[in-house]
Amino acid sequence: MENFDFEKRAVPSPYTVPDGFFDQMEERLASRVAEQRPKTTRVLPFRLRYAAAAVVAIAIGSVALMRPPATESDNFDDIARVFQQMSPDDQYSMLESYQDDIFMND
Amino acid sequence: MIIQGNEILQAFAADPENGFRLLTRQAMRPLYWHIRRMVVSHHDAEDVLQETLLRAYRSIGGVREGSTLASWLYRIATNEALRHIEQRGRMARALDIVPEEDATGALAEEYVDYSDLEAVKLRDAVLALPPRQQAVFNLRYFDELEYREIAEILQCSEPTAKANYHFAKEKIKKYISSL
Repeated sequence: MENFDFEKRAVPSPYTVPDGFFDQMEERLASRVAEQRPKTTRVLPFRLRYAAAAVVAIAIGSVALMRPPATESDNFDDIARVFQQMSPDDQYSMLESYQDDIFMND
Repeated sequence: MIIQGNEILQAFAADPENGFRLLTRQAMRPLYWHIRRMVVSHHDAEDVLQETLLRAYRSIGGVREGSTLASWLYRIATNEALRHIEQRGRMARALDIVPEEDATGALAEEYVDYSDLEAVKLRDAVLALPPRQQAVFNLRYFDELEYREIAEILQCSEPTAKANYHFAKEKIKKYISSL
C-alpha cells in the first residue's frame, strides 16, 4: 500500500453506530441522573427531635463512661484521612447512605 | 458541535439536571468517537461513555481554574478508556481468550464498515500503537486538538505530546507501507 498522506484529513472512521443510539443514550442518562437526585431529608417532628437527641445523649454518655481512653484511631483527623483515601465512588456511596440518618442530620 | 464550557457550567449552577442534558447533548458524540477509536467495540464504547458522563455529572465541581470543560471531559473519557483497555487485557489473559480476527487481520467487530479499506488500514495501524500514544494521535489527527490541550488531557508536557504524535505518525507510515 502506498504511503499514507496525513495531510488528507478526510479519512473517515470505519466505525458506525446503531440507529437512534445517541438519542437513546441521552434519555437513558437523563433517567439515571434523575434517579440519583438527592432525596428530601426527612425532618422529625419537634418533640421527636428532643426525644432523639436525649436518646443520643444518653447513649453517648453511657459509652463514654464505659469506653477506654481515646486512642489515635478515634482521632478526627485519622477518620478524615481515611475518608480522603476512599475513591470518589465510595465517598459518594457513603454520603448517600447517611443522607437519611437521623443521628447525622438535623 | 462545539462544547460550550461556560454555557454548560452556568446551566449546571441553575439546575444540575438541565445542565447535564446540555452537557450530554454537546459532548456525547465527540467523546463517544474518541472512546470508540480506543476501545474499538461499540458496546464497550457505550459502557465507557456512560461511565464518563455520569462521573462528569458527579464531579462537575472539580473543573479546575484554568482548565477548559472540554479538556476535563476528554481527560475523564481517556482515563476511563485506558482503564477499560487494561481491564480487558487482564481478563483476556486470565481467561486465555484469543480475540477473533477477520479476513484483513483486524479484530472482527459489529458496527464497522469494512468496505472503506483505507479507513480500516489506518484504524489497524493506530491500534498497533501503545494505548497512550493512540490517544495522542487520535486527539491530534481526528479531534484536531492543540498540543497544549492534549498535554492537559493526558497530564504530560506539550513537548511529550508533540514527540508522541510524531513517533506515532512514523510508526503508522511504516505499518501501512509494510502491508
